[in-house]
Amino acid sequence: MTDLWPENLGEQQFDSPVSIMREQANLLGDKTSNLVKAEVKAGSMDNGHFVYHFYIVAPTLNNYHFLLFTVEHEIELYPLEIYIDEVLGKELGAKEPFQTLEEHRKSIADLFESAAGFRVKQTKRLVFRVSSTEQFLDKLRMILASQRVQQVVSALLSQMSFDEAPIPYR
Amino acid sequence: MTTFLFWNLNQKALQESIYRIADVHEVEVIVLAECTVDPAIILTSLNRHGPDYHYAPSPGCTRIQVFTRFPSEFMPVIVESDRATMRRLKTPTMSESVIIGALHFPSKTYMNDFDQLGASPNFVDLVLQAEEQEGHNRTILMGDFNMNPFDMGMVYANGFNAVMSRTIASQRQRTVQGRSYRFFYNPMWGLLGDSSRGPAGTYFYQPSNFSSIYWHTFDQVLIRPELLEVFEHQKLEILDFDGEESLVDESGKPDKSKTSDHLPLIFELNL
Repeated sequence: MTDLWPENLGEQQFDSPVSIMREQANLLGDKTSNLVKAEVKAGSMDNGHFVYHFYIVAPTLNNYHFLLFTVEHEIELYPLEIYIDEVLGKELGAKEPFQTLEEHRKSIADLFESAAGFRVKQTKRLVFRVSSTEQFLDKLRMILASQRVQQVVSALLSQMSFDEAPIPYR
Repeated sequence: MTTFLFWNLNQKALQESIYRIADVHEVEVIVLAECTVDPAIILTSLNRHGPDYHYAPSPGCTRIQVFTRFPSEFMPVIVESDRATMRRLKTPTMSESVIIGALHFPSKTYMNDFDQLGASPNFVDLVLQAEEQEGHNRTILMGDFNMNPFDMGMVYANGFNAVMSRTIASQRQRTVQGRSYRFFYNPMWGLLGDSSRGPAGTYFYQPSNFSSIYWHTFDQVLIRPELLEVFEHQKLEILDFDGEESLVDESGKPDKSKTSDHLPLIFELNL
């Protein structure tokens, strides 16, 4: 049988967004003596998009998981979207630099206004849209260096600093 | 019996109403959304006759506040985001633990139906993460979903997949295009409009548009099939009275001038 596959199949390899996320996740445990770690979990695929959640994890606090951000992309990897919450979005100014996407979402909102009659003002699902590995690393650096991350990690570490015996149930 | 109260306070100082509802209904778990009152003030109000209630803080969730009648150690956080908190509930009197989730879903003011549909799988992933960690599906999820029970994000298989019928929910899951999705049972379908024993919804909105359904049931509780036996539908209620004062005006709508624009939800589990 004739081999129809090209010779250079798979030659062009690069770090996928999820592998970058996992590499960064692995580094957090080293910095906290594994008291606070990070995990990347695959999420529910929506409309064929790949979804990955980045959690901050405290294994000794009931395996506490905090969802820091979510990445969605199609099979082509880029452009991808990084979804963050309002607290982080406010800190990093996620709304202002991405008017194009906002306008796109607004146009959809105007077209498909809810049957309940609610007027959509603006989206609050804050998002960074990046189109390359370099841009992704840049946004990831902003998120991981944020005060929000400091606050969550510090809160978890401080809860581990005392060991309170459970109070008997009354 | 364990009684739960969920209430979106709309950033109002409603600690007196919370105390009265908790007192009248002997509430054991109080879950509040849009709560801008210092938890210490709410605790002081709840504990005016003794140290009955405890604050169960969240390291990362800023949108939900939880108070419990048992020590908060019996309800630790296991999974969170800014808008959702998933907790394990296991008191010494319970034979097995359950997962209690609460969320404040983004508003229709800021998201259209399609954005809400797109966001719902991310919230469900938090539920699935908690269930994976705990090794069971005995989960209750309450909150201000900012969607009605019939909205796409609530019924979409990849969303909350919440159905109106116990019989259907009892099938545990449905398969769509080769993939399985666990059901939630949504008892709020039984409280829509005049079928409700109380108000016709939890939130009233009357736009000037052609399309309006007036009453919305944004505040909901969803139950996994594994917990159907411990959920009593007759004990699920939308409250319009806090035991001393009405929460609605003369026309029966939430009295926004005095209280929240959302009405509280109360339900019981036989845990």
